[in-house]
Amino acid sequence: MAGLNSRSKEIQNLRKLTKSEKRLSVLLGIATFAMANFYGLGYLLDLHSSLSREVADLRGQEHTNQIWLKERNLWLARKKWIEAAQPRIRPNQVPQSELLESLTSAAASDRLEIQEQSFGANESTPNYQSVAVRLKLSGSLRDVIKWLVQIQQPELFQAVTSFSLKSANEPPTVSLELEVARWYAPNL
Amino acid sequence: MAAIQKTAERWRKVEEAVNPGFYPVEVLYQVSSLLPPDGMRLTSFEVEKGKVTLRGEASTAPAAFKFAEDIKAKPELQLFNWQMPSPTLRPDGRAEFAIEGDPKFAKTD
Repeated sequence: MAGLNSRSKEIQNLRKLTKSEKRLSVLLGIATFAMANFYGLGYLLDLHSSLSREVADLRGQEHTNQIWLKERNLWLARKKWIEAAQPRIRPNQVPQSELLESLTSAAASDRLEIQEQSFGANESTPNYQSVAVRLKLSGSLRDVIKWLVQIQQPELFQAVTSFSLKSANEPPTVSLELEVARWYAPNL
Repeated sequence: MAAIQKTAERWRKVEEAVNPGFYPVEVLYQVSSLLPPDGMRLTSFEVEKGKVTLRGEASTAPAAFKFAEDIKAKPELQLFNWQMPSPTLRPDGRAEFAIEGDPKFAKTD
């Protein structure tokens, strides 16, 4: 009780703030308020700009997804076609020899002269298992074109991974060096 | 959505084999169709890792530039980005040129 009385006396003994002290207190209050607003506003602007960026990214993503959805039927049809058309390696099959045989027999029937033939490197990727052969041949430009059209059709899954066609000394004879790869379905 | 994107990615990886627009014979056919009746001939046509390089001779340098511009403008050849370094001029005024086409979409593993 005595402690409480002495404290209230102390409060009573505090002098009143002078006019200039009051002014300074008001100024301090205004300055503190202004600083708080300054930092608060900066924080809100940063937040706004980061949220705007996020909204723009999401709108971009939505636009991209809409394009994908518009093309949905095309891609589903392509998926179906790849699954049905991509050749598969059967047990006991020797795909590299078969590829070489099919290419050389077609070349012979198109009157092309095979000068060199060899096997390329086999390759396995998540999308295909590749077997490749390299050929060097010559013949008339017309026969070479005919053979090329024959060996590269979408359903054969044969890619020409390297190709060099040069005009020989006696046109329309040309010499052709190429690597043909057959892309079989991957092992799943 | 992921399934569609995966199929698209798979298609791109096998596009060299299944899209005739990338077949060397098709590109050669499209390029040859732009050759003028005379004054120009192709001497070689190469494709390595999808990149096409064709070389030839023209009676004049402007003819070579026009040929390159015609290739760039042909809709069937838009699967590639085409460019031609300056042709080499021979003493007789003929120009030797090389035009290169980089595939825009096809990817190799």
